[in-house]
Amino acid sequence: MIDTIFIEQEILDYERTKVVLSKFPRSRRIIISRYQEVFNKRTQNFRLQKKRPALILASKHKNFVLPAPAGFGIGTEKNFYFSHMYNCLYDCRYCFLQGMYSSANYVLFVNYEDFYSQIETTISDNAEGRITFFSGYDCDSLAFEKISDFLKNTLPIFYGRERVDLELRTKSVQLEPLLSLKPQQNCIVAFSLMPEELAQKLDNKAPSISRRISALTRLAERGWPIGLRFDPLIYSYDWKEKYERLVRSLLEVLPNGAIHSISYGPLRFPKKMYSEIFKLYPDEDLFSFSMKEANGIVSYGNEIEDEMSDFILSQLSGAVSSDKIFQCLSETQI
Amino acid sequence: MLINKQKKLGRGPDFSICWVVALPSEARPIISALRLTKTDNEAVFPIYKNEVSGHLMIISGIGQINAAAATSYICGRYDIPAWVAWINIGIAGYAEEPLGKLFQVAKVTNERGTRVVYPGFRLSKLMPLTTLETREQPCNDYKADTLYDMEGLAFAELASRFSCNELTFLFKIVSDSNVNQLRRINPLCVEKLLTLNMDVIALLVDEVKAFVREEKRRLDISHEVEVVLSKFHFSASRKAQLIQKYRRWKTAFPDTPFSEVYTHAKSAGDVIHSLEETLTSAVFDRPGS
Repeated sequence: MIDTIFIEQEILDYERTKVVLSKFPRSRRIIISRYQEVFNKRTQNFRLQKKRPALILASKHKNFVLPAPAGFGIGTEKNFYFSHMYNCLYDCRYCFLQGMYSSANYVLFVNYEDFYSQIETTISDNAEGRITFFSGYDCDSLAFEKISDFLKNTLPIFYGRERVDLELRTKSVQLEPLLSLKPQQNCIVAFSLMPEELAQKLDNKAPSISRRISALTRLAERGWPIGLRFDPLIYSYDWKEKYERLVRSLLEVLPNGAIHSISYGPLRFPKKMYSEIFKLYPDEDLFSFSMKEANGIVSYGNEIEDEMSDFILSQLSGAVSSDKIFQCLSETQI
Repeated sequence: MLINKQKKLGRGPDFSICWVVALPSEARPIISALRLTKTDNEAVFPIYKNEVSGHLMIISGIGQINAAAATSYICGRYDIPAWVAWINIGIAGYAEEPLGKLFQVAKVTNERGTRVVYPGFRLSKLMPLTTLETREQPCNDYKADTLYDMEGLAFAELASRFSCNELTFLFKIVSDSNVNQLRRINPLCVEKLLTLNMDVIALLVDEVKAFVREEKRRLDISHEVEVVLSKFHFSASRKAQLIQKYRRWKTAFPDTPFSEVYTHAKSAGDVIHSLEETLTSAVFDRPGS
């Protein structure tokens, strides 16, 4: 439950601010100048704050649309992302957001129209070839929808644009507004997945894998293109059996042709980020394994990464066309 | 100011909460409820403690300079670790009555709004949250929804550096309002206002202590590590490595005595090497882990 909302003075009178506030009638509202004065303070304790994050309503002033990191994509050459929100309702132990921000509070940028305008500009500036926009890089695309109405407002921007795709990355089983809308073939609902046993230990506060599979099945049956994201791949005891079961359970329930794309990627952290996350959760079992550090990146090492990639590919081959399968690479691998 | 650290045997008292209170009359109900006793007669400020329940209190006097000095003084003198929570509690002015209403401060600023801190994990189930303005001089024209005091900001700025924002708490009790102004502090009235709130204060102490326990588990160096540190010479970077690898090892092998890892070690390097070797067999989600 959100008990406190920090609101930038500049957006107090925005209609969207009022709508969001109306969903939390009992919250304490505190006026601030800029969101950074709350969000970027260095003495914050992310771990304690994550127990009950506050909501910060803010206006974004620049960087509405950014190029996606190299190696991040599902087949198109030009990839961009936008973040209308920082931080996530879930508390996944491998998530880079833990090491990225000093605050666990949610920041929601309410000036959606500025994002739309920049998306339009990006599309016109890239008139040749296909483009993919990724939402859900700094937050979950669906989990906050009941409060933000972001997708409800954003999906129409992408209607009928044949050379433009939008990926919504999520672990949420909150499926509105998607269930109420006519499916858009250029909007891929991409679910982050890992074996159930691992998700139970790592995907804190997120829906179980079985619920995610039910949700993606419902969307697939409605006609929405589905993305399966095995990213990050988690190395664990009996990992082959676990991933084999996961892939089998997905292929059993998903209708033919529903899979738009599958991507997988290794667990990797920049060294500083790994160190920050380890400091927050030093007793986390995930970090007991001896990871390797090379060129400022902490990872399982090439041998394990290659073994896991090969295994996932072997599980998918035959069931899914290879041109739908993509490996997410970090910049050091390209 | 010269700060003589208390000579401590072993790890010293295990404090959980450090209270910074401006007035003796604000402190008395807490001293009584928490059974604190006066200690450290050579200290520059009056200091009270209860080592059993883990409370330490300093009485700062009025104003930001006193609050800042007392906060720094007690932190240095008692070598307060980063997991200890800091609480500033006291009276404040507020536009509206009722007098005696307890608030948690979620934002504290100076009069011009040029300094601002957002302290504390919010205990909104126990009491309402509001904004505090710390003034250099007493004032008697209070804006709506804002508390007024003379210490809070300096305390919040310093205590959050010694610990963190989430473990820095400011609680204020309304002592006067626009219609019921305080001309002179009456110690008996102040004591009464605090006493009226002691039930809630007891609850908030329980909540704060739970956070402190969690932070202590995260940050404290295990006794097993301290034994090894005293046995071999570790450079600063090797010490950091030892602490990190020990945490990973303890998570992977919670039932193994640490001494087994360094039985044959002759140096700090041997201990680190042995830990690394053992950790190669650690794997996430092993049965029984």
